[in-house]
Order: sequence, then C-alpha cells, then structure tokens
Amino acid sequence: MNKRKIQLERRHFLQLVGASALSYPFLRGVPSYAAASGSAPTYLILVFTPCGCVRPVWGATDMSGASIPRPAYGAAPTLTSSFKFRSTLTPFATGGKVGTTSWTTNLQSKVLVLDGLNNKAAQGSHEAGMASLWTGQISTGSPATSISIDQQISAMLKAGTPFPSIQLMVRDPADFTDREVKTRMIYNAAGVFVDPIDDPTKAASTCFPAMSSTSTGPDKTTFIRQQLFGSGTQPGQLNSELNSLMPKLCTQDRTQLQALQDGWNNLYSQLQAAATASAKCTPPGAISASTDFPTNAKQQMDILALALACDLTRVASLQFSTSTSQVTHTWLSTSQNPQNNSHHNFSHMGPTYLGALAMCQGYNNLGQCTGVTDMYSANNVSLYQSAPQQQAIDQFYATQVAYLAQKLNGISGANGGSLLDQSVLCWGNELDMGAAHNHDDTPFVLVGGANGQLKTGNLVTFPLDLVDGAPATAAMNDRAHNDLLLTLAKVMGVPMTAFGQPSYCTGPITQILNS
Amino acid sequence: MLRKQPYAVMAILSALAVVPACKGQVSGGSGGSGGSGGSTSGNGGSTSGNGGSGTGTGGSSSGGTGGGTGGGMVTQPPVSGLSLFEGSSCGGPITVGKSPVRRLSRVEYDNIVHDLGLDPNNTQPATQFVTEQKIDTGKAGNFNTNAYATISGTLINQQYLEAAEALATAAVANSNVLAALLPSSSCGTKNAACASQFISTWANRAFRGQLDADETTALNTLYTSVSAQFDFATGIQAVIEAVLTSPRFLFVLEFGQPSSDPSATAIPLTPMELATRLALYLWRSIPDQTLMDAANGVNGAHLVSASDVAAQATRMLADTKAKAALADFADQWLDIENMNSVTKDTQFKKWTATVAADLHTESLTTFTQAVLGSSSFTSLLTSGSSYINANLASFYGLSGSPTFSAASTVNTAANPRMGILSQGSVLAMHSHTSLMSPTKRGRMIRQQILCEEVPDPPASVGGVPIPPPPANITSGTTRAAYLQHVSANSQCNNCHQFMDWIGFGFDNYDATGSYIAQENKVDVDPSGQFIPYPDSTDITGTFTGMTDMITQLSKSDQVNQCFALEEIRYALLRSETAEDACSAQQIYQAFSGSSFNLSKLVVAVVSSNSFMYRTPVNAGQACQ
Repeated sequence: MNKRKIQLERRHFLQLVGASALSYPFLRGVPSYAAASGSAPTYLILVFTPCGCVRPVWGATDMSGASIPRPAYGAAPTLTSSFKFRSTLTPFATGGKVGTTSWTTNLQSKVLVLDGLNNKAAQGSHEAGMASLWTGQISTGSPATSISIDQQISAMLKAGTPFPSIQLMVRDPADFTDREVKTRMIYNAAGVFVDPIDDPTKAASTCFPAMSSTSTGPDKTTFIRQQLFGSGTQPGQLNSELNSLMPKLCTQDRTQLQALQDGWNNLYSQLQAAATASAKCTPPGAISASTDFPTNAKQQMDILALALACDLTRVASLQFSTSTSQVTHTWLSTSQNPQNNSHHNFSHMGPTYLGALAMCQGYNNLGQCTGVTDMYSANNVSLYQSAPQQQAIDQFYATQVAYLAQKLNGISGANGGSLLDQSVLCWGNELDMGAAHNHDDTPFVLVGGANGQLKTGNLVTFPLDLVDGAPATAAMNDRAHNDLLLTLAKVMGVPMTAFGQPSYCTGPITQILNS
Repeated sequence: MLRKQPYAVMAILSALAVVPACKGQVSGGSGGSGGSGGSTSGNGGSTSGNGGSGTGTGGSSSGGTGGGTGGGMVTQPPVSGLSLFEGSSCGGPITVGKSPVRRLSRVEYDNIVHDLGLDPNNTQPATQFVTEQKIDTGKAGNFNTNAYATISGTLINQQYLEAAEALATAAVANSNVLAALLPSSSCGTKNAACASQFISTWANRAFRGQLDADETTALNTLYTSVSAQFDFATGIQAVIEAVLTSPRFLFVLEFGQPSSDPSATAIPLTPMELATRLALYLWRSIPDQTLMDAANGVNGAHLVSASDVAAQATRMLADTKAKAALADFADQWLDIENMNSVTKDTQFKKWTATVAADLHTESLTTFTQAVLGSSSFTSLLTSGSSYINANLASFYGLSGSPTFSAASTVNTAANPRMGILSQGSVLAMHSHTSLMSPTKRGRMIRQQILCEEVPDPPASVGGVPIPPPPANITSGTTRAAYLQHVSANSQCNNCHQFMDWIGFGFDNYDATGSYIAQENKVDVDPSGQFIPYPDSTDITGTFTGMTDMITQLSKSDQVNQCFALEEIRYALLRSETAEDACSAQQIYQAFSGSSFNLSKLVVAVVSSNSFMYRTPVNAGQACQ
C-alpha cells in the first residue's frame, strides 16, 4: 500500500542523511524556498526566559576578566571581539547537556552579547516587561495593544511557507495558565494575544501532520476534513454554514464568528501546506506528552529546529514558562543548594534597585555623582541570597538556548554554512534584575549571523546611565531595545524606521551590522 | 489604532509621576479610569511575591467593529456596578443590557460533550483549550467568559478540530457508546433513515435547539457523502465532527422572539434559548430531557413565565450536576481557581500541595453546601463551621477526624474562624510566599465583596519604581511595616488606605492562612477601618478585629447587593449595564426579602428580565 511505501522511503532517507545532519539541497525545489529571490532565506527565532538575571555573573569580560568600560552617554556602543563569558553564559562556549545530548561546540563566534539595552517601554514590573518585550509598546502592566515584531515581520515577508509563524511554549504544571498579560508575549495586528502551542505532541502533529493517502484515496480523517473545509470549488460544510449564519447577526457578533471562520480557513491552509511539506521532510522522533519541564524543553526545541530545517516557517518564537515564573527547578538541586522555591521567589532574593550594584563613588561640587562602582564586581554576588540556586537557574536557561543553537548549527544550510548561520535567534527576558523589577539593562543575546548580516563573535557594550538620579531621566540616556527590534526587522529583509513607541526608536544598531 | 489613545494618556501620566487618584472610584462608574477594551484581561490571583495583582485596567475602544482577517476585537461596555441598585428603575418598558454572542467556556464544552454521550470516560479535552478571559478584571467578579475574547491565530481552531476528531472517532469505534447515541426507535437498521433521525435529535440537542432546515439538509448531505465513501459509522463520525466544529455548537446563539414593535428595547428569549441559559448557568451544560420537554411544551409542560423558570431552577439545583457549577462560581468569586498550585516559602513546614488542594476543597464545599442547603449569605459569611478533613484539622490545629461530607466546627479559641472569608484558601491565596498581604486581602474585599473598583498600582511614585515588598519582615509586625512604608507616603496611601485598613483585620493569619497571635514576638493588632471612597455611600466605620469586621460586612446592604451582583454577572457572563437596573433591583428585593437566602437568590436571578430577555437582534447593523 502507498502508505507503507512512504514510510519506508522516510526511513531510507534517514539512513542516507544520518541522524543529525540534514541537507538543504532537496528543499530548493520547495516553492517557498525558491521564492526567496535567489538568496537563502533568513530565519528569526525569539526566545523568552523569565525573571531577570543574576546581574554580576551575566554577560562577558575581556580576556583578563575585567569588565569592559561603558561608553559615555550618547556615544556609540563598543564592540569587543576578544572576550570571555561570565559564568551564566559559559554554555555558549563550553557546551552542556540537555536530555541525553551532550555537546562541547564553542559557539562564541556566532554570539552577540548585548549589554545595556533598556526596555524603556516597560514601565512597570513583570507584566509590563512581558507586554513590551517584543512589541516595544509602552506598558505599565496592561497587555499590549499592538503587534509584536515577529508577527509584523511575518506579515511583511509573505514568505509563502506553510506557517506564517510558529509559536511554541515550554510549560510546567506550576505555570500560570490564564490567557493574560503574564502568560502571553506575542500579539497580532489587532493587539490580541497569539497563543503558543505548549504541548509537544500537538506541536509535532501540527508541524508534521501524518501522511494520509492510501491507494484507494484519502483516509477517513482527510476525507471528512475535505467535506468540512472544502476542496476544489466546494466551500465546505463550515464555510457554508458560517456564511448563511452571518447575515442573521448584528455586526459585532459577526466579528466573533468571522474570527472563527478565518481561523478555520487559515488552519486548513496550514494543514494542507504542512502535510505537503512534511512529505519531503523528516519528522522528529517519538514525542511524548510529559509534565517534566526539561523534557518538554528539549522536545519543543527539537521540533522547532526541524520545522525551520524543513522551511515550514521563517518566523518562530519559543517561550519558556511565563513571566513571574512559578517553576521550581527541582532537577537542578544539589544537597547544598536545593531548588526548593519557585524561580520567581528566588529571583526576589537580591538587590532591589540597580544602584545597589553600581554605587556612587564620588560627587562633584554640585552634588552630582561622578562615577559608579562596577556592577559586575564579584563582591556584588554577596548581595544575592540563594545565589547558587539563582545562578543555576540562569545557567540552565543559557544551556537551553545554547542547545537550540547547536542543534541549528548541526543542520547544514545555504552557502556551505549551517542553519544557525542563516538564522538570528534573539534571547530576551521580561526583567533586568528580578528583585528590582527594572529593565535598564535587559539581558539580550543574539545567536546566529542572519546570513552574514550580523557581526557575531562580539560583546556589545552600550552606554548605561547608572548614576543616581530620577530613573526617568536616566533612561533617556540609555539605548532603547526598540532599536534591537528594528535591527531584527532589517536583517529579516523588511526594514522599518519605527516599531512600538516611536520616540524610543533611533534606528537599527548599525554597529553590529555588516554593511 | 483607536485603542492606542488611552494607553498614551496613561503613559504621559506615569511619566509625569501623577498618580491616578483613588477618589471617586465608586462602582457607579463615575468616570473612573475608563472601561475595558475587548482583549484586556488578567488574573487577579497571582500567588506570590508580586506587589498587587498588577493587571491592566484596559483602555476602551469606541466603535471598532473589528472584522477583517485574523482577530479583530469587540468592544466591551464598562460595568455599571452597584449603581444598578440605586433608585427605582422598573415601571417603564423592559430593558436589558447588551447581549453579545459568546463562545462556550471550556468547562461548558467538557460538560456538554459528556452529557451528549461522547465522553463517557471524562477525558475533558477542553481543559487544554485556550482559556477564556475575565469580565473586566478585578472590577467585575473575576468571572471567565469568552463574550469579549476574540479568536486569533489558529490554535483554538486546531484544538476544536482535534477534540472533535478524537471524540467522534472514539465514539463510533465503541459499539456501546454508538448504540447509546443513536435513537433506538429508528436505528434497528443502520441506514440513512437512522442517520436522519440521529441528526434531528442528537444534533438538535447539541445545538440547543438551533438546528434549522438548511443545517439539517447540510448534515444529511454530509452523512450521505461520507457513508457512501466509507460506511454508516464513518458517516455518523462525520456528523459528530461537523456538529462539534459548528458555530451553532461553539457559540451560544440567541435570536429571541422578534417583536413587531420596532422601538422594543428587549425581546423575550425563545423557550429553548431560555432552557439553554438555565442549563449553562446552573449546570454549565445543556438542558436535560425534562427541561427540553418543558421548552417544547411536551405533555403540558411549559417554560414561558417567570414561575415556570423558577420551578425548573429549583429542580436543577437539586440535581447533582449543580454541584460542580456552584464550585465553579465560588472558585472565581473568591479568586481561588489556582489554589492547587500555590506554593509557600519553605519556612512553613506544614504547607504542602495536599494542604493547598484540601483548603481549596474546603471553600468550594462550603459554598456549594450553603446554596444547596438553602442557607443565607449572612451565614456563609459568619458561620463558625466549615467542611474540612483530617488533614485540614491537623493544619488548623483542631482535634478529631472530620471528613468533607459533613460540617464541623472550626471556630475555636486557638483557631478563630468566621465564615468563608476567613478560610485558609482565601487568606493564603491573597498573600505572598512568606508574607501576609493586607493589600491583597483588602483589595479582594473591596472588589469582590464591596464591588468597588481599585485601580492598578502606577509604574512609579515620584519617579522611583515601586519596589516589591520584602521577602520577610524580621522584626515587628506586618502592620507596622505597612504603616511605616506605605501609609506614611501620601502618594501610596492615596489608594492603599482603601485596601490596607481592611486587610489589617486579617493580620492574625499568616501567609498560609494559619492563625498567629504574634509576629516576631509582638502582638498582632487586627483593628482597622472601612474608609469609604469620597462622595460615596460606602460602608464606613472602625472595627476591632476580624470578627467585628466580618459582622459589619454581613450586615451591610452594600455587601449583600454586591453578592447579588456577582451572581448576576456569573449568570449572564457579560458586562452589566444601566439597562439591567430594574432586574437587579427586583433580584435584590427577592434576596433581601428572603433574609438573603442563597438558593432564593439564584431563583430570582433566573426569573429576572435580564435573564429571560435579550436586546433585539439587529441583523446587519450595529449590535444593540
């Protein structure tokens, strides 16, 4: 029967290409890939991890271990190519282990550490940070009301891939479940939440639907779907019913049913396109439903990597837990440092304002602070209670991001490089320091060169206003992360001059762009 | 976009460090910080560490039909609140608030597929669905509804499709389940006639009576195509899938009985639509055969008058299906939905996940039994008994081995308790991980018991971001810390006074809801006061402690009106507006006239105009 033959072909295909390496050339026949006007497509992945970071051990230093001095206010950011990571980010250099996969690949040359971008649009705490992270829109804690950068890029790209974008989430049983500002980071054009898929089995079946043909025609599921959604010139049961029902309703009620109808039609297009694509593509191995956070993390990342390898989409996002994460990272426990509290609770065990890390060293005769201590001073770690637990969590998340990066790096891509080289993975957070609820130096890391457009292998240090003074004025001297969002748009091929709050935009970060 | 405007205003205000004043925020909706937009939502009940429940007040968009592709928004009217009970609004033509179409809630989807015979093993597929949003977070009873939530992206559609396929496939593959679905009278032979009868009975029940001739034809045609390609069972499977993905299933459609009077402000629901509302409210499911027979006038039964409705409601409350629905209300009213995942600091050795779950059960059972036992709201607020098990007896420091199936005394000298508000779940939920929170507790009372709006905290005060409360208070009491750091700052006190001075009344209960006489070896002072909003008729006065506070609350008209309003909100799952005033007043009259009997309240709600009528359907025009 046809069905079995297709499966045999898959296994044969797998044997040809080996377990981890996946070749691109066969995809060049796929319409969406070919339409990328001659050059290889670029892939965008937004990654979110919660609750800020242990600031003194984040980022990178020069080769002697000293902090890079901040440029003066208003000056351009500096690039340091000879750097070594502080402890949290070392997984990018030394590798790590996720599930049963260990790697030692040094990805430093593919990384851009961005130190000093201020999420100015976040004018509140966790919720504000979550709402403004990818929208760049001012929030004091309310949900955003405009689109997030990934959705904007996807809409402008019109890439013709089976999915305009793919949103995945790694959820823990302890996580918040309400559909609200704390749990959602992606917004559509109407400012409505876009819900991520948090169940890996669903993510796999969505991205890689099972092949459905038998020698006698479509199987039951497919045939019934054709009746429901239509095929050829037939509108299908659902469209017919909705079209006849709509005229009986008033306009606002119609909006609700229209949204259902649009969802059906978009879903069916995706199902068909994904089924066609998955015929040419290797699905992930066995995916199981699990309540174990690390297991779900690996599964979602494996699915995401393959989805990009199969060119199912150009735009993706991966959300670990939610803002104000309730996850208890018990698997990181040691007898000396038990993980016996939630990430959010641990993240509050530290300095409650940025100035505690960067204290004023002297004053001029006008009473103005003339300089601050190094926020990355090793002494500052003592300001954190349960520092080992917090650092373990931060490093766990760095390991996850590094895992995804090395996975993409193991898939061969265009022009002799890897899929990672064709991508830009942007890792962000809802906060800077967990207990301070601030956003002055929101930790951002980019991995992947976006087809040679980014000057990877650099630590980028932005000026940061740390002297005491009204935070509102201090923030004016900082670079807003809106410019990072503009940079992402540019390397994805859809440049724009403003995104989110326009007054925070000065333009893409040209110092990290090649040409 | 239209919606940006209110947020820009708020941004300017916070940049200037002008704190929105808390005055004038009586729930009469007198100006206030705007209504709520369609997509704003939030959870008032986060468990720990975060000062305040920090969610959006939401701007409101005016106009905005949305429409177009992929998720436009619908507008949500601001809620009227307690102003509904002022004056005497009956006597003119019948009016009811705007009645938007709403999608089924997850709990309804699960109950309905079970009651339709598709999910005999209670797999409850909808628990994984995209969640609903709250009606006007924090201002309107914390109830989940899809009335103003708009579908976006494709995830919920995918979830609907996959659930439909899974349920349908499993149902027809199991001969017992399939046999139970098919009408026995016509299905001796499994053929088109049987399928046709299945459609006109089962599909009509799934659609709550909204199956019309066109849709009947369409479903029969679907059966014919699929059964011809495969077989009878697959044809039935297709019909089931089509029903479960149909807008007639997923949405609660109401067209009412059209009026010949073009100026009519309200039209009665059809009996079947009324039956549906009754079942969705009291059972979170579809009508049973008895209710449908009444709606269809079978054997002389009818469902037309308020007394018809009242009689059915009384019958339905006595049905076992009512229990889960009552618990569902209490979960949201008390903001304890997520109680089972509340964690506390390790210093609280006796706090476990089992304790959290048992405390949850205690409160849900207390509420359910109070309604089913026809108790009064006063008793619910003041009783010294509760429903606990041996685990909770140990947690509360009580003796004996009680079970949840009977009430036991919980109020003792060592463990003073008074009513549902003093139960461990309510107090633990409205605390931080280590600290109690007078603010969270006071806010909960203000919003859910007094039905008043409390704005969210601003981003910063005087240019300084508001730090969260400390993880622990190592000397002195929580009260003293709040008085020193919060009340002493006039910009904070402006709003905090309305919450903290109520919350102090619960200071004898730590972050786990356990009784403590002292903090850091200092005696707790649980005295406080109700500070009324300016120019309001709010409850006012001082109290010596929790008992005094709750006693005063239980005697307050405001509190009793507020509870009536909460029931109304839950029953309607939409914003209540001025047009609902007459109904609200009549409901309250029945409630107070029965000494605040809880089951009488429920009956009064379903007998009201707001429940039995809807606004006219203006097909093709703006919704009325």
